[in-house]
Amino acid sequence: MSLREETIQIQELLGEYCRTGEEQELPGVTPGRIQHYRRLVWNVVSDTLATAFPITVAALGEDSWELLVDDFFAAGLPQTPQVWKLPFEFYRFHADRETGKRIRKRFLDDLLLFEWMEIEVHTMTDRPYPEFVAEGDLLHDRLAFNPEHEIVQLEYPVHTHPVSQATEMKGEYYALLYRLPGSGNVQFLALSVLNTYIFTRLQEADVPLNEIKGEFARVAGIESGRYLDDALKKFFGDLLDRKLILGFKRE
Amino acid sequence: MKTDKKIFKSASIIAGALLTTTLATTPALGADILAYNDLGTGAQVRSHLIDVNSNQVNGQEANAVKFGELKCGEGKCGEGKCGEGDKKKEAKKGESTKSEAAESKSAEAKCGEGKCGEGEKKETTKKKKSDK
Repeated sequence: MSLREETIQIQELLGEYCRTGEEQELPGVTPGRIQHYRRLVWNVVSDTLATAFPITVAALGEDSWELLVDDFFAAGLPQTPQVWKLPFEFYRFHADRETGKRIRKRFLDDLLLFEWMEIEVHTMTDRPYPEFVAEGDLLHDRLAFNPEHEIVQLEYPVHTHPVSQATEMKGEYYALLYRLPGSGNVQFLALSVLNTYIFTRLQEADVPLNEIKGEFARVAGIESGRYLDDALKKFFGDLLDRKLILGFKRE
Repeated sequence: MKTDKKIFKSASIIAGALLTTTLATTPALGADILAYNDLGTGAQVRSHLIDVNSNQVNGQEANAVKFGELKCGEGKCGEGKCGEGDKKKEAKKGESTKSEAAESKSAEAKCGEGKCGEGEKKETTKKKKSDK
């Protein structure tokens, strides 16, 4: 059943009032009570965002943080009906408006994205696992990667440093977040550019390490040989222990 | 879109970045060439980063950010402070630590519509405020 045009209009006016606090002509409203709607909605939005971005709150300070929330609440017009997705809209809102640049906190986009990604990886739809066996050879067998991971590229190392230091370290940084099989807990790794390249390239190629290590050596400008073999075995052996690699694909 | 590009990188794009790193020009030798940092679980990462970032913000907040360009500075936030009084009053009741706040995020994210975790969320905010 569709709503009457007048009802839709009243709902929209109430919504606008709740977001902006600007008085609207609303029929049937009891004087002195309408502000409680705004207060309640504000509290839900504010608490949801503060819970999603505790590091950003700590980095900005609560007064500065609340101004960001105010701005989003008044002008952001959230589209999602799901409260847990609100933090992503908050991130997009400030990234699109370049808020970090305007307030001279250039790390802001990175920090919001980094914090959002934990929620995303934690709640994302299950991805099908490849078939794998536990025993195999790191160099000569194809590896079965845990598909429930994301790699985030950051301009500032906000995942490893306090923002005051990270701001002075502009570059190219990668954080890998993955969901542990079984528990569903999210784990974080800080990868170098080279780690990230090797990790993603090997997944894309879906071949044994031995067949592609020459390419890794060329791209990285390092010698292919025992050192590289040792480094690759150590790196991927660690990832196997950490369950970012599940095992070895059946041939 | 700018924000989407940050989430996924194909190996061919990352290969370009390798050319600009010092690693490509001054290769290291030994098994440490592929060293990386295990940052731990979400709770550990949050706890650590909240801690190091809080330490630097404490005492500096008054000078921290100038928000003149934001809508709030133009009076748009109107009644925005209306909920604040209540929240701050409640905040004084909390007694726990930042690490507890850091713990709660993941559990929160699972609850979908937010209703089930609402009580806990408020608790978390109160607790954090009480630390200051």
